[in-house]
Amino acid sequence: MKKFDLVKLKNTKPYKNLNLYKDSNGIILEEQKGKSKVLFFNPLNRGECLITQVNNFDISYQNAAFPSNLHEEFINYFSSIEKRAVSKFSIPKVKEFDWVKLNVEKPKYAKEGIHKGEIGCVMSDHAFQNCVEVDFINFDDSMAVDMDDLEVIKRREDK
Amino acid sequence: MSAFSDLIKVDKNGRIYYNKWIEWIHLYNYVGIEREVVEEYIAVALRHCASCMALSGCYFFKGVMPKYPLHPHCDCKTMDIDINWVKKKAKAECKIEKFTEYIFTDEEQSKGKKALFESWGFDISDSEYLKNEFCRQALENYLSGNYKLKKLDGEGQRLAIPITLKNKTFYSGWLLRPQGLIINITPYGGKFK
Repeated sequence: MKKFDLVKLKNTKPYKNLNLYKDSNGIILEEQKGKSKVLFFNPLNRGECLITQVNNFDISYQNAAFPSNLHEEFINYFSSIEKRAVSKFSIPKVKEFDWVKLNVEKPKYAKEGIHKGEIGCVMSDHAFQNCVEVDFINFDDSMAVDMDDLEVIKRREDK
Repeated sequence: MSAFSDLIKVDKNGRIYYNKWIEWIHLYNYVGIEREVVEEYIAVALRHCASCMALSGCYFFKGVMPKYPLHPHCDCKTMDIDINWVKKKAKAECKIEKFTEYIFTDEEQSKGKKALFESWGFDISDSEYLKNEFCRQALENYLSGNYKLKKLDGEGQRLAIPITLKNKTFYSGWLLRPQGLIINITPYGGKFK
């Protein structure tokens, strides 16, 4: 494995404190002496990334590398990525088919006709930049809502 | 709607045909692992326009596509593609839980939608049929260009696609993904207007 190779995390046990998920996608940033510094992406909250060192035997190579025509841009932008990288992955507060209540009044929801107290059902199995798709009962369309603005009123029963 | 002349193309054998479909392409157009990593993750890390990245690889009927270019200095391109290619690749996905866990749930909050479907003669035992019927009709309407554009953001382009059950037509909400994949978000998205 070498720099810019795409990898997946196979063994999460040693990295429990980082909330890394099995099969999280990552890009190798540095590789030496059986260890790699990897930029991982949160599959449950797209847009969130984390940089950590892992043992090479805990990751698998995906037979692909980050496209070479993006290397320069990636290197130029790396300090910004580093700044925004989190210290551990967030665990989504809500899951698909949880029933939720909007617990804030914000202009971005109000302009769509959604106000504090509205009840809806989560319709996506992952978040994007901390937002999930919610189908509100009194609203014909689903809309993306920040998970921090939601309160779970009924969890989907795990089956 | 595009100009009529834009829709007429001549293939390499000199045959005239109507080209009504485009593929939206951002700077990079990959398939497989590269697409997953480049377009869904790095796009955000590198702060490329998330909406453009979400549109990359999506197929649109020319009469019903997002404003192009999407924004000033947009790097995206569109490429004419044949309807037969779209037909070959496109598919619709809908989780059965959209019915069993949402429409027909016993939750007090869902009574309106549950009552609506029950008034049409459906109950939870019809979930499998409904799932298949929604996929069939949504795919057929998408391929006919019979859909409306709804919200676009980094998650993707939402589509409102009409579904008809027992002579009642309404919209259902779908998310358009690359290569003609449409994924159901919500089975009932309001009255057909």
